[in-house]
Amino acid sequence: MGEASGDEGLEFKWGKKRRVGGKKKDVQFYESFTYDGVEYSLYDSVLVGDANEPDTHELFVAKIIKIWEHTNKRAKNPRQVKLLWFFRPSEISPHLLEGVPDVLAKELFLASGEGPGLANVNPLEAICGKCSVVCISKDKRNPQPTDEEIESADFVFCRVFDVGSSRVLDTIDDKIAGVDVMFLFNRAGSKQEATNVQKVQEDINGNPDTLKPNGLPACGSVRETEDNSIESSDLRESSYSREEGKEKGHSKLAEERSNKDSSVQERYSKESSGFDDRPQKKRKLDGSDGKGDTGSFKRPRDISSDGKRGSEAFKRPKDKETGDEVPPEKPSLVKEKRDLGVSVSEGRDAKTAKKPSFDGRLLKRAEDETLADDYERGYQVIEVKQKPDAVNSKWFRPLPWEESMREAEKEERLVLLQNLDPTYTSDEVQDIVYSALNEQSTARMIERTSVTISHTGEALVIFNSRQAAERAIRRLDKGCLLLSSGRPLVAVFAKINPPGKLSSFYGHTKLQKTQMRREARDGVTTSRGSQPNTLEYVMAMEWCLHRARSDHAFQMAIKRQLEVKKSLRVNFKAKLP
Amino acid sequence: MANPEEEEGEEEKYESFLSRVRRTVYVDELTPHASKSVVESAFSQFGTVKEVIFLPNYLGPKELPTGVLIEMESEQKAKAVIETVSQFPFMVAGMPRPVRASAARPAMFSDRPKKPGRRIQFRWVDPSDDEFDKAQRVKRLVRKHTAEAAFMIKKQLEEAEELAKQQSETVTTHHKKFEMIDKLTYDGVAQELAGRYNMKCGPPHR
Repeated sequence: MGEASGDEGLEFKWGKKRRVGGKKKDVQFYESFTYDGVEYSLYDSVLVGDANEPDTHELFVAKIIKIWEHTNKRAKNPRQVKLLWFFRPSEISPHLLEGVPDVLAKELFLASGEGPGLANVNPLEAICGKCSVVCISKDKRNPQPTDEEIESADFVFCRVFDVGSSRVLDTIDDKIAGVDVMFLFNRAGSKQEATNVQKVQEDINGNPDTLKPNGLPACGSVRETEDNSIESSDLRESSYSREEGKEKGHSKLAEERSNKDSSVQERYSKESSGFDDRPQKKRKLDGSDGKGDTGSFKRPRDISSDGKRGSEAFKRPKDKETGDEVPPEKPSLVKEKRDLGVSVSEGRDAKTAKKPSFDGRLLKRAEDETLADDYERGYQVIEVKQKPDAVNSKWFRPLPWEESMREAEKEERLVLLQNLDPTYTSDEVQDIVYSALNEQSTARMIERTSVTISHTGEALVIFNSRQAAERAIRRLDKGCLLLSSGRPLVAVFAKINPPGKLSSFYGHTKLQKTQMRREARDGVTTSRGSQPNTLEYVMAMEWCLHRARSDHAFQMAIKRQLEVKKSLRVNFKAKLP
Repeated sequence: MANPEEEEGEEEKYESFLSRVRRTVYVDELTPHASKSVVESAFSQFGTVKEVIFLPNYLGPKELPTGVLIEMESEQKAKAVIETVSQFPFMVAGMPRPVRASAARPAMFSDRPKKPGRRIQFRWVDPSDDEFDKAQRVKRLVRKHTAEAAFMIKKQLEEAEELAKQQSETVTTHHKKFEMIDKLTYDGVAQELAGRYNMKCGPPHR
């Protein structure tokens, strides 16, 4: 798929093609490319050098909104990108920033409106690197980022700078430089969601081209005329993509309706038709591998009894369902499929159940989208399920967490789940365990205090049986469950402190009677008591010093850890082969 | 998808949770011997204490000092508590180790409501995917980090123990000194000596 250019200093490779345009069909648009070892995609934020001052460290930040190459003639710059600019506060004259409240240290302003300085066409080689710009706007359309994301981002933005009126605005229009703002906000779910249906819209509307002083004026004007002509060809392309979109939309809708039977059948047969022989074999393997639990038998019953909440019981149980619906009188088939869903074996069944994107070729796109939907809907599933079971497993409601936890630990049902997002809640953890591992559980997030690592979350999870806990741990160990923040989950058996009051606490010394007359029992020593001329004040200060030192050391260590983690960030988006 | 009414309810819940967070002070370095009433009465001098939640220590080392969340009636009161405690050593249920107060954060509440409108997604990574290795490395890294943090905490505790021992020694030697001086004045030895050297002496204790 790529056209490597061997004659350039820095290596280059094209990524995904989009469509062809231009008057003479000599322009090829792309969705991504790899340059100098870094992969860039549409709507990525990049750093761009200044053409007038080639060696300055002051780089501009921009978003790629179009990528193309002229295929016929070896023009001066065959590969070009259109960049929508971000303004640093330093780039805007101070008097324009006067009334603007709270400009953060790494805040940028997105260019908007119309006029010079909005966006420019530049040769692709002007790009110096990628950066992360997180949108912190509270706009409803913007998927809100986590605190962690904000902290680790290179830049943030929440406002725009209108180049036409030279003002900073808080509200963001629906389109900027012809690009739907949905692409400029943070990416929500899988990339594929944004594919055809929306891109169609974007392409149809015009792109007002403007020039920034250090762009390429000559090329720019050429671009404009070509852009307009491209639109007509876009329309043709769009009708094709719309079809695909419809098909996906159809499968999406199919899931949302509660006519499980037919739709499930359809989808299932569609999927299987797209499959190779390989997955089939794997499935059989799983069947033989399976250790049928009583737990697994419960599940399908639950699903059918759940009535018409319908499609929710999709995603992972989807395979189980078909097993159920279709031939209840073929027990072997049902069992196989059930095992698939229940996923007794580690990574492998996860592969078959969820990897149509890797195996199925025809419906690749559609499946990715529906899979992503599956995952999300999987989240929904829990809300429905948990209630009935929760009542069953804890038979007297007031039983506090502590007791059930200790019991669970004794029976080896207690698991410590690590590397969660610290902002998750206990409920969400339960949901994740259910949808990803198919186990009912109760969870409790561990509080993030001054003595715990702040950039990662942990939770204690109680499973219903020892096997369930073991299973979960094994699966998470062997395989790799990736959450949307790019974190793979880690699980171990939890070991908790035995109950009872701790006898030792450092730092409280019994002062003799001849000294201050204060009752330790009473305990209320106020600021009045510790005047600077008393011994206890001095000692208190020593404690403060000790605390400050250990705090500092701990925070430094955590910061270092965070950096290491950042450098090892795993891509959540599935890369299609 | 969650219908708009549900979402609104969620948002409201989350907002009220956030305001609760703002009213709450996180106090740590507290002795585990302090009971709820002790803590309450200690902090009630700043204003009414609405709620005291003890943060359990399930995974940390046994000797870790206790942390507690104290909800005051308003955000200003909470801020006042934090300010005072940060400026002057405030000791609760024993001395001289003072407690530490800071603003509470949502992550400190284990029973918090979820952030409205957030959807979590996941995927199982195929071993043939090139991300798989990276992910396995990340997992190992997580374990490493946990061990590191545990080690640091342990070191902290050891230093605290050292300091406490030192301080108690200082206290006892001071005490001995005072006792000695007291005894001397009581016995009249000090007066005698003063007379010998033609110096003044403090009031005689008889």
